[in-house]
Amino acid sequence: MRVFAFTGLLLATVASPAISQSAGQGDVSVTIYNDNLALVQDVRQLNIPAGRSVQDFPGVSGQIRAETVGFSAANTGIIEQNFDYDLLSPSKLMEKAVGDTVTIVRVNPATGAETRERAKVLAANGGVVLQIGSRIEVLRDDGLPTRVIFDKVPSNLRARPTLSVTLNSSRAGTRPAQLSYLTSGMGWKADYVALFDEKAGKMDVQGWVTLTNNTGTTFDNAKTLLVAGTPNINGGSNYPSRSNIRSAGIETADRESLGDFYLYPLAARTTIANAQTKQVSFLDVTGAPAQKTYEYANPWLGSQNEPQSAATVLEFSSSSDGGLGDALPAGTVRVYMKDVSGQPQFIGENGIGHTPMGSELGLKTGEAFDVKVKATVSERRRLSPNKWRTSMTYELSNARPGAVTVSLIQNGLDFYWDDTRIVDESMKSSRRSSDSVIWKVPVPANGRETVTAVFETRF
Amino acid sequence: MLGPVPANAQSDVARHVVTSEAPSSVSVTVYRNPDRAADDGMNLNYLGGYALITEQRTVTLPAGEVDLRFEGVAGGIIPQSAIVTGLPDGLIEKNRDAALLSPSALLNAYLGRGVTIRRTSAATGKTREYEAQVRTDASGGIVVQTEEGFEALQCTGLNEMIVYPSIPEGLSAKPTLSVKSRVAKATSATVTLSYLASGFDWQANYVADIADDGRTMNLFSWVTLANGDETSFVDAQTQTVAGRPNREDDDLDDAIAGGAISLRCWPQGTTSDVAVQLFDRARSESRYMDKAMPVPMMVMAKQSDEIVMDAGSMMTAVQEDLGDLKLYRIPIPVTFASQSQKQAAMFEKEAVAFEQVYPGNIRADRAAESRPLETMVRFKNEERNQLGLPLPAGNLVAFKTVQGARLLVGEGSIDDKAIGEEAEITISESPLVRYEVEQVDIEDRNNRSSRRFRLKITNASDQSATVEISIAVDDDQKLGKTSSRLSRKNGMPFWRVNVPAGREQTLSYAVQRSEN
Repeated sequence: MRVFAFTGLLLATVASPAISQSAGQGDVSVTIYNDNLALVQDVRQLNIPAGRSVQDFPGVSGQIRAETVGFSAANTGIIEQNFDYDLLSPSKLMEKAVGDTVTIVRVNPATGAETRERAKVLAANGGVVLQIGSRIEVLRDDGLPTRVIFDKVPSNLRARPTLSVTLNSSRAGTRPAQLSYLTSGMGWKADYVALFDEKAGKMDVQGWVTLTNNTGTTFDNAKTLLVAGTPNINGGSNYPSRSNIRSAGIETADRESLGDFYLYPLAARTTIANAQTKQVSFLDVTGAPAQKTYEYANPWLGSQNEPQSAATVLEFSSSSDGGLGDALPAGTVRVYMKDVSGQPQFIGENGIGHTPMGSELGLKTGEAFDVKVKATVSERRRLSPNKWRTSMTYELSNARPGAVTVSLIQNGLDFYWDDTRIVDESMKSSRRSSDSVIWKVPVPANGRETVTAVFETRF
Repeated sequence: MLGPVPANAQSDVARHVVTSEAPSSVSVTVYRNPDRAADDGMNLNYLGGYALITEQRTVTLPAGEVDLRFEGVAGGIIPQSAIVTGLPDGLIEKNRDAALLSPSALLNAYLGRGVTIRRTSAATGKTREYEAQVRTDASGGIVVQTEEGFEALQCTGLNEMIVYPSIPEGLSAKPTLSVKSRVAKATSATVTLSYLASGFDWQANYVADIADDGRTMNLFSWVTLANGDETSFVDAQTQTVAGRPNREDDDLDDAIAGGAISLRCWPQGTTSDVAVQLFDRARSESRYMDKAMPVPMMVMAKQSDEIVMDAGSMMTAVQEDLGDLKLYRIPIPVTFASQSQKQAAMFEKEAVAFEQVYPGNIRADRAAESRPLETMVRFKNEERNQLGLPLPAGNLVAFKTVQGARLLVGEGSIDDKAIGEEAEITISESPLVRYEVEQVDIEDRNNRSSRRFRLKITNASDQSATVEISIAVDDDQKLGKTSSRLSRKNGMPFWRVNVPAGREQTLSYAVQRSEN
């Protein structure tokens, strides 16, 4: 059993400590994946004696996945790797001291005088039972102040979960040792700031990488690499989230890649502090073309009692020709517009998935106050036991001073039977899929428009 | 505040920390909680909306690598939304440190380091100090190592405490946003910082005073905004935005390093008291404890927190278009205090023509006992009705003056209504205007049943009532002969009838299974 080498006390003369334990780290590189996963590589200079020795690794992530630890150093083999998570606390200390001898110091409440005795801990169940010489006592049974001084702390009781490796080295000496492991508690996403100029049909976009560290550990002066992609993780939920890609691009971005994932290295080494959110710029585009459209989707052949707002959709491209000209890592796009006084105001946000260069994107930024659609089932008739005729009326209104075009979409046509057809309509639709049709409806300034359609369905 | 920090080994550029303590001017734009329906009031204890806060800060920047720290930002800041402009040489990175100064953060920071234990004798009042090293973090009790051995703190019954030599670097009283920039030449700059922050909300409040004729009303509206943040915004340009901007989840998992130390000792049972005691000291107050924050009632609002320029003339928020949203600007800077609700007038319109109707929905094939009908106020948002301006979502309280006393008629809600739209607000239920449905006949012809129903509207009030009944007919049913002609509304058969005071009206109709 190893005991703490107590070599005097390092006190306040030393510089203020950092807020979390980064002590012991060497040359750290961190590769951060999107979904709460990072690979840490830490090259430390270790003085390894010849033969068997145990090395502790303080300063590893508090959320280390111990089973993923890899260790390598020259002329050294690993005998075993331990991850101790039995944490030191007063009660643990007392439990582990059962059978051992401790020092108790009684303080006389009237005089403050101290009396020292050695005592053997017999039990620590509910209360602490001590044997002092030939007497048996319960600790502080009299309620008087009593200090208990333990000679040692069992070596497997740690302040924090600690990684230790038992090594067998063929020679003694200091050499670089590489420690690598996966950890949760760190992740990143992109955040985009888009300033949209509606009149000019352009927008300025800045892209920021946002990385978060909740591992409990600060990584000092780390070389940082971000991987835009989500490797499959056992037990992780890999459900596809909404990508808002209207047409996926086929251009290759001018960035380093790892397999199918683009890499975003940070230009300089940086300190990733615990409980920190850090943002670094990776994209700055001015004057990219962008336009606003209106969209309303009626989810099924049903009615609304009140008119519903059409969605305001911002359309732009990630192409190098007339777009942002880069692959876009997944994140949130926040859209701003200048108000009358020229101050940018927030008008809505939406998420994007990992987007290849050359893609067409359509982001719903919000609902239009002035452009509304009311869908009504005006008639429903049964033609035969399994044939129905549903007449829909869509009333569109526009309270804006300019004409608008609304993409009116009727979804829910493919309800087990995909032979739904339109037998009559007031304007030409186009069928997007077996489930959905779309009309491009021009609505005049401060005006109304009505679209009617008759659907023949099997439901 | 300016202080050089020792250059680290990698860079030979001087590093400076510059702290900006407060903004020189600030603008707050409040957005409504996107998940709150029009008829839900604001929950002042948990405001689900948000705000865009734009601050101007004047800073003096020395040459070199500068860490510019912004203090006094809203506590609900969504850090990834922060935008910083106006730095002369751009910025390298933005950081938001959520590690807060607290007893547990101090202990965690000093894990493995030297502190002083001070014991005060209860008998003599004398203090003694011991040097010690901290051996545990704040999660489960304190063990320290002294020259004598290992001891647990706060288990002895002595008066003892830890004295720390200094505040660890990186701990601050509040979450702090900072940016790193490399400044070429020392300069003074005005930096614009803008960010979204949660914990705000707003809505419109309409007060309708119904005239004696029952056909027109005086419509007064408030912009009511609330700040649930711990930060007050002094002399702030204040705006609100109506409409529904889309919002994503912010996934703010704030594992903020703060809070109490969990103090557990070894088993403390004695012969007379066997139960194990836990010393959970210094437990902080729950932050969700109810705060006494009464909502000013609309009736009282004129005395409460309204924004008045001078006695008599009320300040009115000015509306402008912001893309597809509507922005309301309070014309002069106001102080938007922490944990407070504020109201500014939006508009006042006199003699707004409206119609009071009694709508009802019945199912064609169901009988119903006499039930009260809803009372609804309906008006078109048009200029010829003295309106014709965007109406943001909110609640409406209707009053009527009866014999000199202003009485509450009812309360309802309104969704965002554009110019030209029709607004329908259900304000109460009438016990006097009622309907009932009776089945009067059943016929079985050719295996096809036809049932006759009679709908009766009774009006016990002293005024005539306009009643509108929508009849829901199932897909496999159809309405047969009716005693009055029906129109259609929202795709349903619809009967609109005027019932004079103290009279009743009936409609009889047949319900048949449709042929197929």
